[in-house]
Amino acid sequence: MPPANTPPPVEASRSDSVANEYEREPVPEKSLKGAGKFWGMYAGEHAAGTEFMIGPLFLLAGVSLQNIIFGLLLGNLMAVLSWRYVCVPIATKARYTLYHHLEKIAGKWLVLLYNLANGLLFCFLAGAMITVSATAVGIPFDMTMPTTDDWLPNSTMFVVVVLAVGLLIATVASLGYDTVAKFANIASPWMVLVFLACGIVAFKQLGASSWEELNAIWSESILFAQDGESESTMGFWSVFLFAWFCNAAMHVGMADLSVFRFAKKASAGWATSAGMYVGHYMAWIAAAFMLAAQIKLNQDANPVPGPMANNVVGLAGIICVVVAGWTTANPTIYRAGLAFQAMAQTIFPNVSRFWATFAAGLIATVAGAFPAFAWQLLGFVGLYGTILAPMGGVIFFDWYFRQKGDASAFQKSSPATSFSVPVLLAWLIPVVPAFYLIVYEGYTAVNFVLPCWLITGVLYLLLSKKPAAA
Amino acid sequence: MNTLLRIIGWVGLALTVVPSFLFLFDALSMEKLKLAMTIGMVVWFAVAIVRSRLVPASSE
Repeated sequence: MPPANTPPPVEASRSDSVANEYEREPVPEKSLKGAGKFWGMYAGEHAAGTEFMIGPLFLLAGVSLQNIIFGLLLGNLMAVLSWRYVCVPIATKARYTLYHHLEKIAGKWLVLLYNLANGLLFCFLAGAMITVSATAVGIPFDMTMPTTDDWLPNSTMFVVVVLAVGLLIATVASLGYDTVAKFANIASPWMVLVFLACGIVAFKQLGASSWEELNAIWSESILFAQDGESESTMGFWSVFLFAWFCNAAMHVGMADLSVFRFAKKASAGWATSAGMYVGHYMAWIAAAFMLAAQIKLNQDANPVPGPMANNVVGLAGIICVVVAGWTTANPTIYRAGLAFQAMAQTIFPNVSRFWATFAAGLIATVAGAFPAFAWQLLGFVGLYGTILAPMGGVIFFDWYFRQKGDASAFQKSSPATSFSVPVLLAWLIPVVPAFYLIVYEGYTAVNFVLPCWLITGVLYLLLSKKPAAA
Repeated sequence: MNTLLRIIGWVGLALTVVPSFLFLFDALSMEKLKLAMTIGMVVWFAVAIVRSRLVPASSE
């Protein structure tokens, strides 16, 4: 448990068995790990419950098959390059968690604020994962599945299933998640293969024997899903930007400093290609084919993961949806709980991690009862990146323009302040208008990630004083 | 023992993915595909759980 009044390593998450070590010191040489450790981790982590939602949402948005295939191919490449050349070089030199690195620049109280935003966004993300799991758990109970028109809970049974799933996940997360982390490691190779099998079976069900036929079936599916309109709201560049920035908080946002600080060499950053091309390429395309097959066979364009997986591979698909949702919602709630605990401890020093995590789980469960969060996942992950990634811009610009890449001087330095107003202003000046334009004016969220990241970094340099040593 | 369990685990994974290719090439029906994948799932998880209890993490 982190000491009272200090923010926890919320972002030190995905490999918590190791990442919670050396929270406030550089990772020593003896604890460094080879690239092999990162390949499996990224492949498994990005085969999550939400992948079952994202692929079908592309179809509903009317994205052409070419744009999906090539947009994701290049967008994912940019994401891999962002990890490899933006995040990992700093991680393998500074060897700090995001939290501790940011604390040295922005002060612990601003990091607390960042963690609160992080925690709340995690809760809504976990809520979407709970919704995904509930659609599979509800099948044996003959639950009426929510449709894309349902932004509110659509039936009492849906609410009951979401509550049961959400409370179970919240309780397990509150008890600590070592067991679930171990189970997730066991499940991940199996889940990846189930995703692949789903895609192959769905492709077969589409009955296409050539690219032209596949394209025609795809276009018919869009036509059916959009009630005969066939209108595309996402072109090549939208898909490209989405693939690049859906994990912006992790790469350009530097959350994965916490993971890659254990890497021996910066070349370990290439391991992220396993996550991108297994989870965000193969799995998304497989899930999109699942919806197209469901439309063709059942004339049903409802992108509900449980029934879609059941249609193609049966019980294994249903269990995969539950496991994929559960194993990713659990650590997400755990991280949110740590963030809330750190915030609460500034007022109530004795708040336990159990209750903070349980509170995060309750928020996620309530969010999960609203299918809107799952249907709006494409926009939500863009918003998530727009809000959180700019702090990575501060780290990047500070590292290359202020620290000049001198890790040893940076490690010896102390935080200049406990609350950096220049960093706060640099963060809020671009993010607040972007938030308004996204939420109230309906602009596409992922378009704002890169501009906000750049503006925040440049504003940080302009607003903050150079350190005395410089 | 560990090697045997590992091989059985691989069989479970094979039962998860190979049937989909057989289905693709019309060599397997949908019912048998679903059955094979369910068996593959049970085998993989059963073996993985047994292995995690029998084999110390350090020897993984």
